[in-house]
Amino acid sequence: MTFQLAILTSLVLSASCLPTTVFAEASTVSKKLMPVSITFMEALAPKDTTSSERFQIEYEFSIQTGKDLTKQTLINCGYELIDSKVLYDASDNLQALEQAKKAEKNNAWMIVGPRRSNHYLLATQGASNTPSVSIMASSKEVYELNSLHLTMAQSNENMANALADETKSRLKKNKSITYFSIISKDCVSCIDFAKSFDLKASKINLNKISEFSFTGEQPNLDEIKNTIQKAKPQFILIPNYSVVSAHIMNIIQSWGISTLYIGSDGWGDSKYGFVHNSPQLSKVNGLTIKGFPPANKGLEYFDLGKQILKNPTLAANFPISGTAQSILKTMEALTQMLCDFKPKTKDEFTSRFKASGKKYFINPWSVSVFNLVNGEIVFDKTLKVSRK
Amino acid sequence: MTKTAKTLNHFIIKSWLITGLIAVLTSLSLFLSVGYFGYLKSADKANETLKINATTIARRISAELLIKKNDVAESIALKFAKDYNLKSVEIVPAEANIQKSNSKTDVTIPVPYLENQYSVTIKANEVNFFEHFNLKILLTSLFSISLLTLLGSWIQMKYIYRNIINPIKELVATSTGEKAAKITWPKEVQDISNQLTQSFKDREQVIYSQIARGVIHDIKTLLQSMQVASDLAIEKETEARYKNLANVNRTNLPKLLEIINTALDGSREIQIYNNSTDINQTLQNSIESIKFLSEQSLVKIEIESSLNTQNVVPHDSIQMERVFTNLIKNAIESTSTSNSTSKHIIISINLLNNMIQISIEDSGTGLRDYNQNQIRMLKSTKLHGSGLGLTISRKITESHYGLLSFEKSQLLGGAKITVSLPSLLTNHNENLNSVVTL
Repeated sequence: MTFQLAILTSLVLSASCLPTTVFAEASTVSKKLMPVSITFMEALAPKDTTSSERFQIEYEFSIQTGKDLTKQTLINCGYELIDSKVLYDASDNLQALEQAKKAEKNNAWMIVGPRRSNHYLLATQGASNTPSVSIMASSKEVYELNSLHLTMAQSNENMANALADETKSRLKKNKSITYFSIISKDCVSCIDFAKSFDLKASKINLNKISEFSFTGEQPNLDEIKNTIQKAKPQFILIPNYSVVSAHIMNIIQSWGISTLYIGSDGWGDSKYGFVHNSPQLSKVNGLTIKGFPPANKGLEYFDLGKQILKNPTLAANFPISGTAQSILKTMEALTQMLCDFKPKTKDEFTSRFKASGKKYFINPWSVSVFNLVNGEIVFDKTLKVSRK
Repeated sequence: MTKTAKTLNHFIIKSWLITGLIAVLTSLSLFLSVGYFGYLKSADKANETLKINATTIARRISAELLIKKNDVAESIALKFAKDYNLKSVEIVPAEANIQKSNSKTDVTIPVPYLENQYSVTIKANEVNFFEHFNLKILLTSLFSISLLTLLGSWIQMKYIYRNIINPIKELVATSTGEKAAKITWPKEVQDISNQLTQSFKDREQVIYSQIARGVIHDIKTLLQSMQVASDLAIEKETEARYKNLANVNRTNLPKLLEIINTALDGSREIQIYNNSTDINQTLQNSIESIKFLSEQSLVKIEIESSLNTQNVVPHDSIQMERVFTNLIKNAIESTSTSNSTSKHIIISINLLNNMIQISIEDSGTGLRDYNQNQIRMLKSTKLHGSGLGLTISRKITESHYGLLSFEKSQLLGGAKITVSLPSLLTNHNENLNSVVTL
């Protein structure tokens, strides 16, 4: 892991030598820089160590890339970014609150993360007076937080609506379209997404048969086997995280049921989400929705992204995930805020953030549709939706 | 009630059974102790695990309650109960934390960051007490102990029989010279065999010398009596003296013949014939035959009898006369050699509890040791002067179902020897006609 990080870091350093057009050129005059402490928080799943290790590499690489690409601009504005990374156990949600509390106590100017909505909601409780931005939290409750706590993600409502429309268009040949929902109760965003989907579905003649809720990562689906086998739904909604969703699809496939699986951005990305040594998954057809396109497309939407695209080597090695793009965009927005307002203290930054943060921390990517084919999640298209 | 003697097998088996029993009890104690302490350890470990799990569960529930997902919190509580194999996980009001006292299977802890509002009560399943007692091991252990006990006792019986019992059985034969001790016998048994053989030889020698002395002594006594009567007749040829001589000869010659006949045929047996005569007469005959010696030794003999009439007592008058003669002779010799100024012998006859008691007290040197067992020894201990041998006197007395006892004379300071004989013929002594083996 250390070796991989070293390789990627060297690529980033080479990219930072590129001239910038958006960001100011290097100043030859040495200035006294104001340190800006930013805490990056994220949950790792200890049971899935392979996936966690890969994510950690990607996460740290993205942050380092963002730091390197914004360094000079910040220096010119009189700031120096001091980052601290906190990676905690995903099975102990309360750590999100505790780590956020700790970050606030350590005078962090801003907290970035966590991705998951329920973790982010806890983090905002722990650091209620510190500006925070989640890179991917999308539940309704996140959008209902005050202006000190923002998210870079598309709302569940937008994504669910887009998914419902897309599903309808895919199955329009069927006279009656029915579906079954299997929802993880542990996931706030999943529940929220499902509710939004059901609401939209009811308006466009997608008929819900029933719903099954569970907790944990390995649900027992025996009690719904007969229902699903009898009902033969056209699609099954599984708006859960990747590992759980893959487990569910595996089981249902083994029953000999042929159906379309649809899910939310919790399915994750191709390499990290679905390849779990399961032969059944290669036969699954699915459809998912994300607030991000693949990186090669998504990087075009913002300046730091464009900068990366100018370096073919860096562009080729940059992670394709929405997480990476979101981190970069967040750091770009932070840099812009600092340079525009030049706050001299954390309190000043906080009040500026409260007033204007929404204008800077905006999702530029709309909603993208991805297909699940042969165990891989493959980009299909980007849809236009109004920001919510 | 007399106890029947137990066989060696009994002792061997018993020793092995005792050992086996100890082993069984030890196994049982170990089994119970290990099981019990294993249970206690498991219970403690379960309690520790419960506390750790309680913290994990409370934190997880807190994470849901803090974001107002109470229904999710309930579901998570149920899931944890199932995953951790708990009896129940309940979210309860905070007041419950104060009321409940934690036990080994129950724990109530406050929900972190919501201590004022909620607590979590977790109940674990009891640790199965009996699961910690592995009966298979116990049964295997008991079976092994039983097998070892049986095998051990069998081997030991075989081994002891071959190497100890059989040699001991042959000790009787080796002691009499019929067989020789084998080199393969245990060293101790060989030593005992040698000692027994030597002891048997010594005993034979003592017996033969005792008998010889006894015979010579008896003959000498009788001859002395006859000698005295002859001397008297030669000294003064009176009719009375010749009559005395004739009487003494008539009395003593058959006795001499009897003694010589017994000695000539080499028998070590004395025939006892019950003539049931007056015991006083037997005693008188004895005193008469020894009278010359008392006069010669200037020893006064007194007779005290509490019996007024004739006392017909079942006894062999000839053999008992020998006994009395020798006891009185020993008393005279002891008294005559003592430094005491008063040379006295008192012979008393009493009837006590159907036993005729004839006591001979003297003012002599007394016995060195009045231990009755000493009298029984065949070794030539110098007892109360030389003589017939107290052993032979004892055997003759005992063949009459009587008793020969020794004590110090409180009256005269010397020895007091008492001959006790049954005064009546009963079921006990009806077989008085017997043989005394020396």
